[in-house]
Amino acid sequence: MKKNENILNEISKAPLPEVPENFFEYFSEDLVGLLVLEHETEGLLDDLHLNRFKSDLNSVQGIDIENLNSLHSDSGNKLAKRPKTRYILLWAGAVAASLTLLFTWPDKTDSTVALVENQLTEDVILAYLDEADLVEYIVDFSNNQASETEVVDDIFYEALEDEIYNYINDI
Amino acid sequence: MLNKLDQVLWDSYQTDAKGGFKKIVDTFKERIYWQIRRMTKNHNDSEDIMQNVFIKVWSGLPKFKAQSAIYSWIYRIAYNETMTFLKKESRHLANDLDDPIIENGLSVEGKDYSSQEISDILMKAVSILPEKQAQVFQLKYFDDLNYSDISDMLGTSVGGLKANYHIAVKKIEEFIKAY
Repeated sequence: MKKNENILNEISKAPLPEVPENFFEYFSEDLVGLLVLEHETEGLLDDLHLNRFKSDLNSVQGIDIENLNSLHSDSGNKLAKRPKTRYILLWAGAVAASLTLLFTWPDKTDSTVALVENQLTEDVILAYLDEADLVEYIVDFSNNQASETEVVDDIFYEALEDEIYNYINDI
Repeated sequence: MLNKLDQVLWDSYQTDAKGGFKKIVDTFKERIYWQIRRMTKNHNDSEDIMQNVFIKVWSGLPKFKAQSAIYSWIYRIAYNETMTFLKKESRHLANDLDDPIIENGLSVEGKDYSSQEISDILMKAVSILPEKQAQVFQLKYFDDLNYSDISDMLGTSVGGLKANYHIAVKKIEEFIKAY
């Protein structure tokens, strides 16, 4: 059957769909830039100096990576869509750096508590006692003060009595 | 053993990895792009997939053993990446997609097919061809390369390519008739 023997001869290919202007021209440069960025990102955790990281990005192979988007948008009617992987890598690097800083931040909790405790004076503590406790404290304090004096006096007089007794006995 | 084109590209890569890789990308990027785009039917997805394909090419080049032509190897990566993408991602709305690759409809065995339908059937038929036949068909039918250029790219003789193409066309036509 000759009919439909050469089906492909009976159909016509449509014209190729549109491609953003200069897409192919810039594709390999963009790709090389992305590969360099991936290589740089691997060392991000070893280097927390983000400013150095930014300047290294800009200097690699003469490609101004941070301005690549503007280069493409300047070239006329562009449907250019930037590769997702580049932004994902930058985001991942920023998050990793933030987490590293967070977990290595110096812990001043203990010294802060100690400082606070040292600064608490007896007066500050007394200020928070209620009336009954305060009265008890004063009474106890007064008693303690008196008893200390009495103890000293007792010791003195005891010593004195011994000497008087000894003197009398010696005479 | 590498074919002529691959030898040039490989030597360039051995001398300067980044420069050689860029030459490989420049040599094959359009073919690979259109291969992907015929399957995805839109530019943005094709661009993303193509980027992933060449990143894999970059990673795989140090281990490339030249058991096939460089183009065949990249073609395979592109096909697998595109199929993985199409299985994962939800399809775009109809107005996001390209126009059919075939301009006109067709009547086959009493059945009428629109241009969209015949385009879809054609792509399905190509997808079930053996890899070599699919590559030759895409390069000859869609990319309009001559046999000499395809021979340089794949390292297959012109006679072998003609046989591959003839068989591919027969299989596609049988597939369309039986659809």
